[in-house]
Amino acid sequence: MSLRRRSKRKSLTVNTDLKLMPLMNIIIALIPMLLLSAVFLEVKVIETSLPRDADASAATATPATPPLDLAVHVRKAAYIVEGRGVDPRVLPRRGGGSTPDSLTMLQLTQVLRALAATHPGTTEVRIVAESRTHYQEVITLMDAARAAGLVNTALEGSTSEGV
Amino acid sequence: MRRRRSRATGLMARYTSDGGLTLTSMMDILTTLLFFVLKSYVAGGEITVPPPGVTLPRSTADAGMQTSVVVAIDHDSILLSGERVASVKEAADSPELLIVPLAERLAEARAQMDDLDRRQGKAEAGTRLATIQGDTEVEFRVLQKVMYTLDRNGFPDIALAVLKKA
Repeated sequence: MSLRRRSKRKSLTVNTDLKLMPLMNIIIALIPMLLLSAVFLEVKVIETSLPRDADASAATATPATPPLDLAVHVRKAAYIVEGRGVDPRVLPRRGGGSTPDSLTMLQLTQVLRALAATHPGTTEVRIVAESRTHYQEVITLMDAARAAGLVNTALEGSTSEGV
Repeated sequence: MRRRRSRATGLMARYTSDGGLTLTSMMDILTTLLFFVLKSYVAGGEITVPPPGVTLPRSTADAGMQTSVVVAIDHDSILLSGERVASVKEAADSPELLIVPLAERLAEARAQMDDLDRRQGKAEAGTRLATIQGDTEVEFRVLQKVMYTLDRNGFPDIALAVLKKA
């Protein structure tokens, strides 16, 4: 009698352990796939525009003092900073590569900051690039301008190249 | 003697396992990792992932991205929302500032967006934002033409996608 009861109890025992191996297999396959395809670099944006027509902006508002009209011209051998009523500043390029060196960029930032300080309220600058100027160089110049407090950057193509 | 043997047997029974792995803690780690990877993967949608072959320039910019039309420029092609619309060489060599195939596709995209806004009862947007994902080696003349084409087709607000410098 007692033997029969014991065997019945044994047959009703259920294994309550979760079967985790299939789930493990899926997760182990998913993680490398997602890691390979994921982009961990932080993508940001720089807002810009093409230069607007000067006459159109002048028609809407005529300021008491003429705007500085600051521009950084990209040349093969130098960067030239020009503005209305300002003597052009020439910053020779070092290295000659497509990416400007950090020292030149520091100098450019200082020049732009000094000009912006003499004309309070100036936040605009034009980057006048040559047709073969690389995109990275344009972005680096925009960074230098932004570091000098000139947050509104417009891009423009140069009409006189190779100077 | 018998007592010592029974004690040894009891100890052995305590430390003997059934041979199965304890997977719960590993599952916890893997599940956390899976959620982390999934979150970083879907955080920004299409715009965060530049197309293959495009190395974005590095910058100190810290402005966040917005939903917009995406134009990518790699070494060979100009892509609108991941689809090739024009060749970089043709665009670079053309004397015109307007890239005609891109302009046509942008006009279509603009019409679709306006139509969608009308259906949703929104006021028609005067200007729309476009994002350029350009390779570091792209020449300025190509970038300028892409920007001009965007401007002429109702996308005067342009954002340049960059990778944040460490």
